[in-house]
Amino acid sequence: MKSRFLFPHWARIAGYLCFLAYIPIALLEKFLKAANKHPTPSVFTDHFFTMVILMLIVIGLLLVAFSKEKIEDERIAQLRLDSLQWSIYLNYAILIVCILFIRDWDLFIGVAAHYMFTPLVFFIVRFRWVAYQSKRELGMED
Amino acid sequence: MKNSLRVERAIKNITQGELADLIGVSRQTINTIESNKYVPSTVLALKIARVFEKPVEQIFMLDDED
Repeated sequence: MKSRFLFPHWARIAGYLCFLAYIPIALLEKFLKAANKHPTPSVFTDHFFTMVILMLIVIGLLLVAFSKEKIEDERIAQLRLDSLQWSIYLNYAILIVCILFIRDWDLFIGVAAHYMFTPLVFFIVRFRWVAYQSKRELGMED
Repeated sequence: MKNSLRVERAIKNITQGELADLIGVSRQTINTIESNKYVPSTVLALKIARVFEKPVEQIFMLDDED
């Protein structure tokens, strides 16, 4: 069975690099802000930094989440689908808890902003975990 | 669903890894099929049957629960 719409296997490394690249850029933003209290018109506006950082995180997570495994077969495709369903359930379970218990609107919006990333993060964590588990089980059989 | 994959493999004297390479799946997949944790698709079952030159029903059979 062919899995469609997946990036090649090396895209996972590219994704991790892309994701981690947001850290130096966020530090650069902090540094520039500290060094220059009076903002001068330049390409390094707040919007520019926000845009670059968000793009790096989102594209990085997408690449990590949807790159092929070394051997991409039908069982991996099923694990991927299971993990996707699991992550969406978890995501909305947490959202429901937040809706019920967070009274402060600003805090709620702050939490909700993270919902840009959480489905992908939960998916990656869960998928990598089950992939690791099945590898480990194989190791124990030998 | 039950299967006699482990037995068939022993008869033909091939390892999980060799069978996996022959049909283009990972060794984990063969392992999970043998331990009844994963039910292969029809395509994969037919490919496995072709390796052992037997009809699918001789390798995969329905369980009482199915």
